Amino acid sequence: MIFFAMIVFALVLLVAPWWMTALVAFLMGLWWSGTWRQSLQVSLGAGLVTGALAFVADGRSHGLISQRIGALFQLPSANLLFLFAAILVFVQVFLAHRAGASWRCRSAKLTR
Amino acid sequence: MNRLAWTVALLIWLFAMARPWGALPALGPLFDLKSGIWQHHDFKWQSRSLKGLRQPVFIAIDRNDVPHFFAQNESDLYLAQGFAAASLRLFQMDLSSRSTTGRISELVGAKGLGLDRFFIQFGMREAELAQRELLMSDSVTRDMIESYLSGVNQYIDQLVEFPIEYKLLGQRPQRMTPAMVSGMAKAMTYALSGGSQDLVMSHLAQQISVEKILDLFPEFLPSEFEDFVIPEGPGVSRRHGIERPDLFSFHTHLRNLPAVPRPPSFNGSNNWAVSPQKSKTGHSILANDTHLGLSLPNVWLEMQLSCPSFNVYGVGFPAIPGIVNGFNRDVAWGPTNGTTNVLNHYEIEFESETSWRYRDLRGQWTDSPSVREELISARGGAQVVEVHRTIWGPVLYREGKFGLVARWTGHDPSNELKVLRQLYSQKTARRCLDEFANWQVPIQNFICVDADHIGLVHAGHVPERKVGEGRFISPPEQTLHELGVYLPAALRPSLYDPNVGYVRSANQRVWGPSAPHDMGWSYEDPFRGRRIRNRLEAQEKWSGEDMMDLQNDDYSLEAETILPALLKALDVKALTSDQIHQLEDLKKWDFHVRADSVPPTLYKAWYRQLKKRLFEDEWSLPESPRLTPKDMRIALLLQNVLRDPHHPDSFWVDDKRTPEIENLMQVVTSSWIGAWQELVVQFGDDSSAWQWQRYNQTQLSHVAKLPGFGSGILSMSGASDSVRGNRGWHGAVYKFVIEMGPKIRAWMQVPGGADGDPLSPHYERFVKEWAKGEMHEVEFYHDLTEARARAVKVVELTPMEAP
Repeated sequence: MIFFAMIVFALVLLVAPWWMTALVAFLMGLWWSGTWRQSLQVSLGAGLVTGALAFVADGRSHGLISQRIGALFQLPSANLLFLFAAILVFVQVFLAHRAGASWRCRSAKLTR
Repeated sequence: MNRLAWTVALLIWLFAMARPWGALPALGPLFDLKSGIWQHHDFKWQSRSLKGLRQPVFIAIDRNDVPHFFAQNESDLYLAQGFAAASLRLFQMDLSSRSTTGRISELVGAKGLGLDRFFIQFGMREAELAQRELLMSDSVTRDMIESYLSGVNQYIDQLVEFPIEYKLLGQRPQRMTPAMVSGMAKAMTYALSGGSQDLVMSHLAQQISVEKILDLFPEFLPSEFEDFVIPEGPGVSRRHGIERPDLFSFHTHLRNLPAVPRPPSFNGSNNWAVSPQKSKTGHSILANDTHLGLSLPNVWLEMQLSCPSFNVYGVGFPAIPGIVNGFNRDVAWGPTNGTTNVLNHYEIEFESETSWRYRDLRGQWTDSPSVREELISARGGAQVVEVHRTIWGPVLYREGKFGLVARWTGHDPSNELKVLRQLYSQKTARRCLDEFANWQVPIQNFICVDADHIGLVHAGHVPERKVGEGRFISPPEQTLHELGVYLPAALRPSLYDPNVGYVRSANQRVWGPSAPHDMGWSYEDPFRGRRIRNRLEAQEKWSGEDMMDLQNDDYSLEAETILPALLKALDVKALTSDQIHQLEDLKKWDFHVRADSVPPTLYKAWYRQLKKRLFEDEWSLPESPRLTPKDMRIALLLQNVLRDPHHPDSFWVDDKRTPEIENLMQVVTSSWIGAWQELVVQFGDDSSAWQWQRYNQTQLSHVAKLPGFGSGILSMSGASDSVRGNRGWHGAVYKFVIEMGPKIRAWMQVPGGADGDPLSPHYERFVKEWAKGEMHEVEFYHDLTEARARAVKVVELTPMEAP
């Protein structure tokens, strides 16, 4: 599930605006998976791929993005910026996935 | 959690991510991998086509990243310059041109509101508008501006990735208008108008007598403590009147005078030139370095502009077309701030506490001032500011029946852009100096040189004043300035080929007591000026390398003047062995302020403590907490009291807050102990860590003061009073030396270089070299053929075909 989430969210992150990860995660929760474990796996995949893509983008800018923005946010290390970016996406995807899953549970009950 | 709770939590999260929180930008768009901070494109010079070009323009990039523009007509030249300037410095040009016209909060939000409100009430928007209309009514400057803006806006139109600063502010760049040029002109004029002291002096007069103020802040000091740009001849006598206390019978009724954002009075520079007789090359040599707030990107942009009408090299402001300081094949010019006071405040009386009818020059009540409503379109909500304008100027502040009016020469429209344009094709120093007859603001000491001649002019509108006018807030009927009467251009202080073989200025007084005209009293201390003079007189012949060496001179004439008196007055018996040990280092000091040496720290900390102890009991000015007399006046005070402990200056030595009468020895000794304790607290017991570079930390901050976007701490020598001015945050932002003659040789240094993108590897170009005092030799190409042969890269801008 993690690898699947990484592929899906890599595509989303590279072509769509920032809020689209929430929509995709919501739909994933609604249609495909509804457990807490699955939510964590999906969020972890999204967070990991965010950190990795940010790291690559930073490398293209000679590490100056993390250096400058890290200092701006008063992070003790520039590398924490990747973690920060990953956490933001992790939380967003987790909330969206859980929200989607909660609607899925409701739909399932109604069907029964 | 149920369905509703998860959904609400998600929506709250998305809402929080989509909006800015205080100074924090909206995190969602900011960290967006597709368009946020992670997306960045390094600027690269490349060939392209532009609308509006009539013929191709070539840009040659040299090994120092300096662009050299070669166009076949002037319009194309400025269009290409505008496109390149925007490519390199878009955010800076946007920010700088907004800074004093009440539009900063549109960019930075609520934290800019206070500044915006002040500048709008100060009449900056009207001044900028009048300036814009004048610039656009002249065919020469209109063409310059329209072409330049066309280039700037074509760059903005094609932008995909905005500069990082816009992303952080959650903004997008807007297309520029001529207001960018006139706004930048007003911002620089204001930045160089720090000579006004009447508000501070009126604050002070509410706490100490006028007699005491004139004593501590005198119009002139004895000649051995003075230095003038225009040297005094022998046997001079005072030609204009002298300031006496009885001239200042008026005291303002305004009890809660406002604190206003004033530019530093020490925004200044050095310039000097030697004539062929003092030059090793047999031709004139000019040196110039401008002292402003240290920033990244640099306030200046170095370039060469070439077209059939002229070929000129130098530095300009990113928001203004053309070049400000520089040279062509025949003439070079460079300014320092004239520092002459051009901003006065007057108190006017209203008919009643609610009426806006005010007393005019005839003593009659006249109609209300004209009122303009100005809108501040701040991020997060618009605000309206009322600007009340009298015949003298805008009302800055009102208290019951009385109001404070500001009159500034920068309120008048002026066309310095045209003056600068005329310089580009001048052939002689004399003609270069003559061009400054039309220069209005800011007042500058311009030096012009050609191969065989040197000259200097105090260029700009010098207000005609009665003696003492501008010292305090006064009623407008006691003034001449408000009438817009200025010293005729022919009478402005100037020098041409003086016998001594050099001219120089460093923001010190322009004229001495023999001046035919009152020029005000508030100038910079003459340490830099005197040091330059001393070295120019001590050495018979000069080369460009010698001039660069003098630019890097870190000698503290202030310390040489003050420290002996401090050491003489010190009571060594009251000190501990550690304190005495430090004293020995100080006694051996050669007065050079080196980055890694400790004595400069000891001296400066001691002297600061002394100034605090001498004057903090005399007044309390929250808006000017560090107001002290000029250092030369303090040097005189120390000498007077050392010579005669009962000298009237001993009045300032006693601490009025204690019942005892303190003497100079006590105050100097307690200052030394206080300084020592301060340094122990700040840097620890090990005095080898008290290096000047740690005490006077030098760094170049980002132009919008964004943390992490500056240079970091640099190791750099020099102090505020040395020729190599270094206040840590303020210093020589650009340095320039040129040897004129058949073969021109020139050197420049602009820390930060051309590229103003904080995410570019070139953003801090030359910063370390600059801190070490190094300069690069300028590549001044005679024509495109030479540029093609020597430049690192040449790109071509071609006219865009009509669709």
